[in-house]
Amino acid sequence: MAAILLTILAPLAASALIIVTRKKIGYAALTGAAGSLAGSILLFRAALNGAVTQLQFAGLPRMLFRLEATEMAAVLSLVVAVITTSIFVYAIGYMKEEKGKLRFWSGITLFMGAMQLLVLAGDWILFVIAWEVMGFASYLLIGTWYWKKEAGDAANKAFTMNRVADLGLYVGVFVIILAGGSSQILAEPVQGVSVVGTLALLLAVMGKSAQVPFQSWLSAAMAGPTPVSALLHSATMVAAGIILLLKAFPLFPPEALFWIGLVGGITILLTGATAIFSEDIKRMLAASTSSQLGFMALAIGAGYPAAALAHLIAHAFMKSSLFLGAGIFQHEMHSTNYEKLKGSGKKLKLAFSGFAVSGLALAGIPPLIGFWSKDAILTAGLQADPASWYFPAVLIGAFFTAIYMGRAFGILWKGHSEPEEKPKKLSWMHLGFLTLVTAVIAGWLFLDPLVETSGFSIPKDNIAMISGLGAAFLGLAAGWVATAPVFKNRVWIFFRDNYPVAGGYTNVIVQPFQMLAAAANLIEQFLLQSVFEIGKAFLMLARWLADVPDRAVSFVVNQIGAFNLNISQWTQITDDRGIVEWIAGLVASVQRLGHYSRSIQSGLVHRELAWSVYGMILALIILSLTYL
Amino acid sequence: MATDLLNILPQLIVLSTTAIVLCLEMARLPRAALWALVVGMLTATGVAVDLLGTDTTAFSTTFRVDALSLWAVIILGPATILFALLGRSELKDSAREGTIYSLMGFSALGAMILAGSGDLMFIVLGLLIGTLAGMAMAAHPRNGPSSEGAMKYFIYGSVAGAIMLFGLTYWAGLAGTTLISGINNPDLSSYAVMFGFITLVIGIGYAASLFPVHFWIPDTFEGAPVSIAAYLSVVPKIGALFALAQVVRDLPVSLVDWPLILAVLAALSMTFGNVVALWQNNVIRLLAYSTVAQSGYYVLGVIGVGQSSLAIDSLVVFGVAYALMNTGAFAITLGEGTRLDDFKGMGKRRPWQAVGMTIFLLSLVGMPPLAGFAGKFLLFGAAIESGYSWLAVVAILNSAISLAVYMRIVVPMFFQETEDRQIKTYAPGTSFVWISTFALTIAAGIGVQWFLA
Repeated sequence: MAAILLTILAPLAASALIIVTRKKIGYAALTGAAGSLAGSILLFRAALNGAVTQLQFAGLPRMLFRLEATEMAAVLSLVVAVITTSIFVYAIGYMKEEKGKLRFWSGITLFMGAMQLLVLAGDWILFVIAWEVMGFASYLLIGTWYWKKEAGDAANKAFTMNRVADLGLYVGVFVIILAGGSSQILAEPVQGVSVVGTLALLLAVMGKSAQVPFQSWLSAAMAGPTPVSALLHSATMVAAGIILLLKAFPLFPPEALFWIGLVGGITILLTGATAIFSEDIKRMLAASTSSQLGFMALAIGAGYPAAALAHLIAHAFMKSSLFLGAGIFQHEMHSTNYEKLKGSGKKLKLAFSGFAVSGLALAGIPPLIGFWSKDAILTAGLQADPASWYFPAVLIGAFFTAIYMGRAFGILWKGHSEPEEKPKKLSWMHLGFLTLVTAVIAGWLFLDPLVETSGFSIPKDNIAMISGLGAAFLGLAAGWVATAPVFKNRVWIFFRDNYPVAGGYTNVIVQPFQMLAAAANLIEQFLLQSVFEIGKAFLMLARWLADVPDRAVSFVVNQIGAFNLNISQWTQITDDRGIVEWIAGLVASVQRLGHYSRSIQSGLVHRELAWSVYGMILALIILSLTYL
Repeated sequence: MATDLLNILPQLIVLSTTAIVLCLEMARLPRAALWALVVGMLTATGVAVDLLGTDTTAFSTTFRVDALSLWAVIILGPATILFALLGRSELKDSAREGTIYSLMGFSALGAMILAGSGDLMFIVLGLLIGTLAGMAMAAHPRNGPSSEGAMKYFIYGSVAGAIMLFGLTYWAGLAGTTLISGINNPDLSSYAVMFGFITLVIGIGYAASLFPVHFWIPDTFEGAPVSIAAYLSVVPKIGALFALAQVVRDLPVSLVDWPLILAVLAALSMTFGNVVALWQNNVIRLLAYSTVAQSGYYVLGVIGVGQSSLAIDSLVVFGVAYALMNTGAFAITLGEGTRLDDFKGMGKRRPWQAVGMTIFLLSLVGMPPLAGFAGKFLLFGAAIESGYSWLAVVAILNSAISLAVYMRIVVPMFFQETEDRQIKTYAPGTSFVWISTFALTIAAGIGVQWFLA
């Protein structure tokens, strides 16, 4: 019981302490993380012995707050603690010369505490609380360098996008509580959780785990410091969406699983393609995160939470070490652009080898950790009964993964070579980085036991393994060859089309995908427009009822104006617009509504009283209609 | 008779306290007047806590002693003390300082009478006591804006009150009695009942700041002293909405579809309040529109009366939460200044107060685990249980908009530099109010379980 509190409260206490004392803050944060790690180790040991630690305390009426370290929660909590602590070690080195330390350290410890709370939450209300606090902490962290416009915008983008999707969590949790009559997170199926409830939760997952079409906040979030990216992209934040799916998995009706798999499949392919065509190492990693989370969603859609859990753990280690490696490159070369990083791998041998090991793991090369988890996902895709397209989608996704990793290796290694510098002392940054890389290498030792402790067993299949290996090697080779920035220069595109390995991508894969994306965008825009138009129509109706003769003229003028506005909006749709624009549009229309409503509030008593009377008459009319 | 008097003891204590406060003011002893108010209100609250659990009526069923009327005393008594402390901080040593305390007492008495009305005449009486005293408070500074605001408040009150009285004559005439329970008779003419109900909603909605009778709010709040604006945003509203709940308890849905009309008004209030608040540059006006929106959420609980087991719980819990978080936000505004610019750079200048304000505003949005979340959770639950899921969805969407509204205050606090100007100081009373509401906002959110037990 003390362990569960220690796990959650140690980082939170560190956060509070940092704000108050403002001294030695990096070490205070590290102490908090170590406390949390110790707590989670105790929880894990208890789970190994089959004991579930529980704690209940005051909450809403008839719905107690409840912390519960189930086997799965204990395993996840341990993974979160190990990765976060390694990243903290790294961050002590990274933040030494950066500004915004106070905000960074207080935010990141708060973030860790929220994530542990989310993992250990035993009831849905507490889960929502943790989810919200974590969202807020991520806002603070992405905006660590808030004086840069880019960082502020990115923080806002991440926050607004997540808020839109979070509405789904509220609706979904409402449905679960109303259906089950209890807020407790149960492992048994609950009757009455409808497909709609599942889809509401799925919406929340899509936002948090950056699934299509919400993926863009993740690459924008790169504006924060590298340790933040490493944390958000691995065991925390984006993983929260998958953890939600894992916790709610027993509640899903079978027919709803299809939608989860569909979202995962689309995300694997679209964001995998984005990663291939990235010009920036961190943006490549961001797109890759969405794609890998797509694998997990697909595995859950296929009915294999074990595969999703295995990949969640493996991906957490691989992606955090990849980010920390990329951070070392950024620190030394002062850029994340591929163009600037060409050949820098020869200069930074240690960082490059660590990055390469993790990258090979992500591509699925044995015996590294990623091989085992990807094998599990492939098996899940193969054995999933109803949906025959799962396996090809996963296989292509694995192929894409190998390509973008191969391409990154090629770019970092090939090109002009500078004389090698003398290796520096083993710094804080290297220490944190190498811990994680070690975990990636030794993953085959602990992945199986971890998943089994959680009460699952990893699915295995020979056909899946062999085809996965084939995709990995083929992809790596293809990526290694296709290192030139082909996508900028038309001549190069023509030239490359002659090569059998790399040629044809642009035509065969990119363009259909782009068209698909554009079509999806078009449908989205259409839906949005319809909603707007209905809203506008009601507004017009209200106006018309209120004052017909006076308003007639302005009504027509407004309509013409709105019409023109629509035309211009429709012409813009052909541009490559994302979800951010429609959020901006939504904001603008709310503001317009506010502007219009404000004109009612004229400040003249007689006019305002007239409005009150109109309102009263309208209420009378509505009520009279109920008698008809 | 004796039991009747015992049952309405809390209200009687408030009445006599207020009379004593008035006498002390006449003796020019404002400090003593304040202390008398504090002691009297605490006594009334204590008696009300002791009475909790009673469910009876007094004086031939004209006054109801039940959960709503008792909780109204328990919420409004301490709240009035907090407002009096704010008033002391703001208006200390001004002429007629003590009148504020007695007027606050009278107005609170009006709200407490409203909350327990079992008779139409008590609704009229409660509204009149509450608003006349409120108007005098709003005019306290006796300058242009305050006179304008008070005048508006008065005119609106007269018109709304006249309409309501006119409509209620139909009810009294039909039912042959002024008891609210008299209307619970399916044989009555539904059109006349409908008309009466609409006018009643206009009258009560005026005190509860519901759309479309909220127009007086922003001007009156802006003209009045901040502490008075804070008072007007909380006390009359809770009384009026409890009165509405008392009325609809006895009103058959077959006679008039009152949940529908309340749902429409709730949706309009929320949306109007939030979207207009987006445009305000004055914190008081912004909070004024936010109170309109909060009234909209609050009506969700009234809609659940008689149909959802959560309804009364939700009204009480949100009442507590609203009184806490709104008072806190106004207290910090009193300490900091009423323009949005006054909040610039507050995060560096006064980190604790900035965190406090952020917590109050996030609680108003309904972020867990704060008090506002618990209240809204129950309100939305009550609406869903009553079959008004669409309204709950509108309310959730509105919560998202309101985040943008309140962020307008939070962003300058942390992301902008302090302007070069005279920095106001916090009076001890103001500090006491914000710190205690701050602690309770967090504690109430976590401890709702014990809170309701």
